[in-house]
Amino acid sequence: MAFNVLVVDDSAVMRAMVIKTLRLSGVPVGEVYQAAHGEEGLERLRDHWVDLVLLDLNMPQMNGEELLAEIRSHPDTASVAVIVVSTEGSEARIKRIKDLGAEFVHKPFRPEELRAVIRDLTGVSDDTFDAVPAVSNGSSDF
Amino acid sequence: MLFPSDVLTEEQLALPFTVGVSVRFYGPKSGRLEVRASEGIVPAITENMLGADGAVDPQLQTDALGELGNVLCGNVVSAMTNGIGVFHLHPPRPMDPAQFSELLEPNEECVNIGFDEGRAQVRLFLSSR
Repeated sequence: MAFNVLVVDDSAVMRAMVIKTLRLSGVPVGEVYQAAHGEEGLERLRDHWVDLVLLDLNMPQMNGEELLAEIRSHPDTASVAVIVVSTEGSEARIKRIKDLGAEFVHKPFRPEELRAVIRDLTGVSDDTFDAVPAVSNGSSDF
Repeated sequence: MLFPSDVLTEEQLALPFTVGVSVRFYGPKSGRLEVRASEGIVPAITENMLGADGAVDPQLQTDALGELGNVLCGNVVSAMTNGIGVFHLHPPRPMDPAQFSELLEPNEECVNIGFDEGRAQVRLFLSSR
């Protein structure tokens, strides 16, 4: 299987880096959708089938926490796997995110970390991931 | 690939900063974190972040510097309080190079990083309020 992925971040560079890291992680990726803020993210979710959402926290026009709450409040998207990718260090805020059923990946991150979180969150075993991570140096960290 | 060093040559230290970004934050502590860089650094960082070969759009370079400031600021403020308390970060704002000064304000610290391409500086200012 391949995951259809939605990446929500107000930085185009960070969206590109998340997508690059996701591909390097060996996770099978299908369609990739992008959004620059929470409201745009909800539009993408309404228009497309998405298996996995990677979202930032600090964004204009609906931040990541608000978007996560919206995702969980709608029956069609309530069970979508969500990973928050952020520099957030507040234990209280990370707990709120996890209480809403999302996982958390701290920036900067490595492909291996992303792979492990996706594996744990989706329950998809390593055997079904297509490729071994192709990263052997630190050049793709973030 | 960028190779940073905390030991800068006189030539590196003499290079003027041509771009900068400022990220203000408030929460358990308030202040701002700035990243400044000499010419050539930001294109190299952007290429590195994107894995691109060759010229990168200037808008993406601005975006990359802002995101770098955001990531640095998020990690620094969390480290200051060991994850206790919630910080709010403002969106990164480009700085006017004409306003750059080498002088530090009270409550301000900085680190310099040297690269083959030039130098960068990260400044942390803590408000006394």
